[in-house]
Amino acid sequence: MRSATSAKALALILALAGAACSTAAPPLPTDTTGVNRTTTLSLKDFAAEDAALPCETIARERADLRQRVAEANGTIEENRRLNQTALFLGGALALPVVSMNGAEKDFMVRAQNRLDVLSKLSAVKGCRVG
Amino acid sequence: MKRLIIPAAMCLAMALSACGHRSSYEVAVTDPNAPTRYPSNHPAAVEVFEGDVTDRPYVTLGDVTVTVSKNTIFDSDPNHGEANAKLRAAAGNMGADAVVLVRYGAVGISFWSWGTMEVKGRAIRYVR
Repeated sequence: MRSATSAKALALILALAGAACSTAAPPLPTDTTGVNRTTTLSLKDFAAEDAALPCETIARERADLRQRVAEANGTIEENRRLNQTALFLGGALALPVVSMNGAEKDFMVRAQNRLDVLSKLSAVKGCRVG
Repeated sequence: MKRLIIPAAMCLAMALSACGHRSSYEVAVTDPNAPTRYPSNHPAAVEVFEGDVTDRPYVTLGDVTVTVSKNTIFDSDPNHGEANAKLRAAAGNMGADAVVLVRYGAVGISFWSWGTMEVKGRAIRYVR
């Protein structure tokens, strides 16, 4: 009985620790736009459907992604507050409310990769939006 | 009981004086001569962009990684504004005019802090 309670408490602590860990900022892409760049891109370096996108569509997709990233950030911060509350309350009863933020963190990595592609595409096409 | 009041007050004062945030940064320099070649720029003059600058030519000085951490569990979590300020200061030291492609990690606990956030960006200087 006692060991079962200890196991639940340990599971809670591990879950909270995993959920509460900070995540590194996504890596920066290769420099393809500075005057001292070592790599130069052309439209051939992009997928055909991306290369065909007009500047307005690129700008719209970037704005939409940034909005969704901000929302995911908000969700992660809210869950962090809930997790901290669960930590203070303690006990195995708090386990169901612990959120790992896995989906949001995965989304943010994918979104950043896409934003980098759109940023490079925007530069290659000479779109004005930075 | 009275003997405990002064040490307790001192401990409280020390704890409160430690409130706030600390930061550290590292720079992967693209141009090895950059830190000495360009005069440093005031942090307030350094622009921060989450995207790239496509309408002005620029020299890439280096990639900057900044970590902002809170000192105690009672401090507020580091936010983007604080991280940007540290990024501006680090890039300004290199003589940068702007930091582009800025991206943030999620705030969470680390080995050294109850709340840590990492931010990365590329320090650039416009071609005059």
